[in-house]
Amino acid sequence: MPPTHPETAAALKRTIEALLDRGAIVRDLENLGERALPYRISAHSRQHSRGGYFLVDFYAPPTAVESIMEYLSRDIDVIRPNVVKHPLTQEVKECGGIVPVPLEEKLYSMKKRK
Amino acid sequence: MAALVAVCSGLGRKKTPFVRAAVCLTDPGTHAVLWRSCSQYKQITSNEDLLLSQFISPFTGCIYGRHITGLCGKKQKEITKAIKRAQIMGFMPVTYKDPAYLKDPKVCNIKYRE
Repeated sequence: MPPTHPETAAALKRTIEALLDRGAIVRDLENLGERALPYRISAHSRQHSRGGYFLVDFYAPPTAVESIMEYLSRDIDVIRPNVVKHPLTQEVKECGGIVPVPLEEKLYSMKKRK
Repeated sequence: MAALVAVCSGLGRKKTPFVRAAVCLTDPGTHAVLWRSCSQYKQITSNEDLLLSQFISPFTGCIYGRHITGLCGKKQKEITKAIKRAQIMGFMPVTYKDPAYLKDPKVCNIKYRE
């Protein structure tokens, strides 16, 4: 078991409570591990090089997104808040690949010229 | 081909772009890799560093263009959007490729000088 700090647990609890206050239904909380950030991020007048990544799955009305982002940006423990649409809700369209286009037509018009 | 280009550079500036276009048309060796269909990449989320890191340069971290990756319009756009999103969210480094993914199989048509 990786060492969990009580601060991270308290921060997570705060964020989920804030989500529930704004009328969101939390489905899942995933821990993507703690690792070194890809680049040094400065947030709340401090610079961070290590962070824990957490993924929260939730249902919420679109009007609540703004208030959630505002709350998370004020929280000191949250380095970079992001709200993203759930990728599984997007419909997968079949991609037909690259269609060969006759390039000659684009170069000059194929109309009959006298 | 080489002879044609040399002749064009001797002529006035206005004529060179047009003749260069004609040279490109007759050249059959385009980089569009049609055998590898874009439908392999069904849904692209910004969590997958492994998949997205295959489309950036290991030295500078720039995203490869369409002529190198060989993807169709839609998938190239999706991958570009996912890479930018992952970089902003803090999942992927911007100026270099994550060293853990340097030994990946090559998906793109780029050849670096050894």
